[in-house]
Amino acid sequence: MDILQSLMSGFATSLTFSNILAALVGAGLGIVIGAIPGLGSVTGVALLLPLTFQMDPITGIIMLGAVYYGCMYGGSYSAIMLNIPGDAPAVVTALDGYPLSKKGQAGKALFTANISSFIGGTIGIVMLTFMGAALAKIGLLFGPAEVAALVILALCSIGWLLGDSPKKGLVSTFIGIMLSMVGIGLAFGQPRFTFDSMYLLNGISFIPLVIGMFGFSQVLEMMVNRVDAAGLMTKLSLRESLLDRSELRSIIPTSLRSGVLGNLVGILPGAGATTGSFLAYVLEKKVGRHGAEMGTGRIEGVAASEAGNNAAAAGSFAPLLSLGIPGSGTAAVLLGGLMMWGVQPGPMLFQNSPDFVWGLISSMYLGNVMAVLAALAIIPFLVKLLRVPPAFMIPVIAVVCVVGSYSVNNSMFDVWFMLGAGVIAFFMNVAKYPVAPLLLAFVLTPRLETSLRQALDISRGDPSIFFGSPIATTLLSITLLFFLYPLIAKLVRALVKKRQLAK
Amino acid sequence: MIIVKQLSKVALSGAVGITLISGSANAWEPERNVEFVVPYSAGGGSDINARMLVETFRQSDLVDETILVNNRPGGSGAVGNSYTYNKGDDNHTIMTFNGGQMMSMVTNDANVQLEDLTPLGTLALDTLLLGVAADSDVESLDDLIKKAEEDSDSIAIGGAGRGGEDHLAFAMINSSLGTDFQYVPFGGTGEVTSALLGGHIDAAVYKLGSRMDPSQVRSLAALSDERLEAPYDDVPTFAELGYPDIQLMIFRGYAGPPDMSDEAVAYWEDVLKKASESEQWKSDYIEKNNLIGTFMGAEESAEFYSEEKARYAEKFKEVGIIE
Amino acid sequence: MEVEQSSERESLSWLPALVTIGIVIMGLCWAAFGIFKYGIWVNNGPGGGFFAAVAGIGAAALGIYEFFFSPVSAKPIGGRSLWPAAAMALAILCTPLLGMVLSMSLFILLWILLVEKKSWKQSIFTGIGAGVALYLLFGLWLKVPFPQGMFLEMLQ
Repeated sequence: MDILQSLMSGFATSLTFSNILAALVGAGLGIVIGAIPGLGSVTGVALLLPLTFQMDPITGIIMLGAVYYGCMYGGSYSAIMLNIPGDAPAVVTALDGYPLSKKGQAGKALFTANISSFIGGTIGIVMLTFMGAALAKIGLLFGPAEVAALVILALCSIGWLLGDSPKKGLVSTFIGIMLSMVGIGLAFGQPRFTFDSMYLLNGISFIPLVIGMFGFSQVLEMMVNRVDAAGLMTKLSLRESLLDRSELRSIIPTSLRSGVLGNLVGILPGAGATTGSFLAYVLEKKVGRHGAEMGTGRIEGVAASEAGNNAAAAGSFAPLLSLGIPGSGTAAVLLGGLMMWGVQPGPMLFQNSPDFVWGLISSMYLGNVMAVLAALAIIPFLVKLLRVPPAFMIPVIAVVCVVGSYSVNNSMFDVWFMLGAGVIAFFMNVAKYPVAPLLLAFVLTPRLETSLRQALDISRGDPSIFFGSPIATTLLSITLLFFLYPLIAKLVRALVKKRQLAK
Repeated sequence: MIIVKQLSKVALSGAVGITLISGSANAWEPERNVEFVVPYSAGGGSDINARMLVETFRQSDLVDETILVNNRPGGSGAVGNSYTYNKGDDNHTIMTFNGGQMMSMVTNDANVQLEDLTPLGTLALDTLLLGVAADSDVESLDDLIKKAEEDSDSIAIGGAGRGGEDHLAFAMINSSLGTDFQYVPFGGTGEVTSALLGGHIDAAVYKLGSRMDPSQVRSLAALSDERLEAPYDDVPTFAELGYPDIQLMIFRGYAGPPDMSDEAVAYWEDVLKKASESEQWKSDYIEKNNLIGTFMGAEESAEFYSEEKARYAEKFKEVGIIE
Repeated sequence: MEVEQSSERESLSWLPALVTIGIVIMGLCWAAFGIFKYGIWVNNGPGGGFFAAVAGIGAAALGIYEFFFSPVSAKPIGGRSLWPAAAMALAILCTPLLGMVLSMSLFILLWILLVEKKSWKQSIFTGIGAGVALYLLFGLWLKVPFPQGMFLEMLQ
């Protein structure tokens, strides 16, 4: 009850007119920044941080919290409407979001994204409020060996997404692994596959790769398939975009499951929102009622990914507030902000500045509510945007791709890289190699390599570090079980068939 | 005009001259927007440094023209360095230049080296510490060394990055102590702290500026040249413990393109000096980021950087990070 | 129109095979570098070339299998598909001269006018509108340092 009381007093400090206004403005700006491909929550918070120094600290942090949430909401828009994920977790959203859009159900997808983001975010914040410190302690149990085991699980579960042509999907996964090897890895410090270019020294940058592979290749595709696209777009109306009761009933359990899972993954050091949203999606594919159809445009897919990544984002605040360790890039920027205001995050924070902490936590509730309101209000306009005929859409999206990939690192190299990636992804599409497994493998492999090497460095080459840890052992057994299980099932089925034939 | 030019030439050779210049009219002043290159992403340490400096310039009315921060991340600083290098004789471009940036020049054998840039000044210093989790039974450096002697390959020390400040500090410690510690690189100090508090690594090296909380992490020794201020005032330096070789001060300075005019160098040196003296810079940047405030002029910085560069190369060679 | 499209489709039927060959070459390349240069086993664990070698060999092996044993299947496309890439490459080549904002609005304007064959009015309206939006959103508000282009720099 103590927590509830503190929370209430937190709301008492945060719920003033100017704070609500700041939250609304922040949410709006965040949605715009998040929706622009190439700009994500890190940039959004970093850009607005100096602006908030003029404000009262609580108003400032409320505005930044709202910007953060706004960005998370906005990030799904371009993934769903244009197949351009603004950041890594949104790649998973695009898996079902864009097919929905192609079916003329962009509105439904957008509503689903927002509602499940809200549910996921709220679960994350509630868990943070009541169990923040305990969760952060759990996070500490995950050392390099445990993180490596978790990433192995995630990597292997890419296999479940491969669908009708698993061989081609596997090839894509391998290409993703190969591309992720470019640059100086943290694990070894030697430049690999850089072709002596300083632009490749830190590796291929993810956002230009994604914008090219998803967005620009889409532009090329639209050149041919423009007729049916135009036909679909005109069908959109607001009423058709709303979710009906059965659809709502279907996404709520999904969002709840994904939210809890995403939150737990978000707490782990270095695991991040992508792993969170991806594992939530995979879980849904395994246990959900419509799991088999996911990937072809199911709202449950969008719901799982969005709830997972928003909950993971909230989860990354748990180590920040209770230990002073930023769990994500955005949390790191916010940490900078907190220090500027003279707040030292860490175990003493709850004792030293309770006003501020509870103000911050209550501002997350406020930011989340404002963001969902602002987002829902924007959807009708977005849906109208989709009616723009392809003659105008094609050049404008192409320009958005260029400008978006330039803005990440202010680099022309990235623009050329994006263009090349777009053409190659288009060729791959023509040859029916799927692109999504490539991107997921690209994000996950460096994490595996780093954690694996760290674990072996710590144990000085002794592999028992993976089997001595109960968490790592459990995760590895789950991987084996899910990997072996389909093989065994196949074998049994083949045997049964043989017997039937023999009869 | 000629007299002024000569004056500034004289001025450059001595600190007395700098006061002369700032006393009289400046020989050069920006005439259009100034580009402030940051070779790292928005939100990072160098970015915050640049944006705070711009803010200080603005509030103290030091620079009349607008200064635009331009993030050019990539290649561990190499992209920004070569961007600035390619500006040639542009007096309207300045760049943040720090120890890590120079280390990556050394370890990556980059195209643009220290000699290809014009150092302008240094406003802050950072140093590193070696520490263990607060609940560890290791109370002092001696305890750690003893533990290592008992079981020769038992100690794993975490740090942020490979081939950077933390790694260099580790290498200095390991070679001077004659121990066989294992370095484990992490993505950032946050991840190092997690691993330390979770008991996955035995000790860690971290920057003073990362503000490690003393209630979580017990600092055993500092790589600074003298005792640090509170809350680290009870931490001995390595020199005090008998290892004067283990000493590393990381600088945060600024540099310009290779052929920046002497007048412009004098101008930037002068405004940097004024910024470093302002209350706002001291309280909002130095103090809040837990750094050590200082001022080194252009010439002094150039000298300091090249000495440090030679030392980095030597140490990295010694521990086999470069050949 | 129909006839033209189908001939375009046929002209690109060699594309999937080419993609697969590309993948095989890339895989072999990565595997070779991984094994011989970066090392697959270092200090009792996977070395810097381990993942490159595994993925490279995997991709090459599966690629060879695809090439010989899988039925050729390609999505129907036309050569027109590559136009946006070519046109955009031209526009990007213009950025050192014209700057980012101007090149991009010219790209939109000319595309709508010449490729889509819309009216002058629509083309200019969209092109300039997009340019202004780019300038306001990215240049002014987000302060993205776009290349300004030699023209604008000379004006300054």
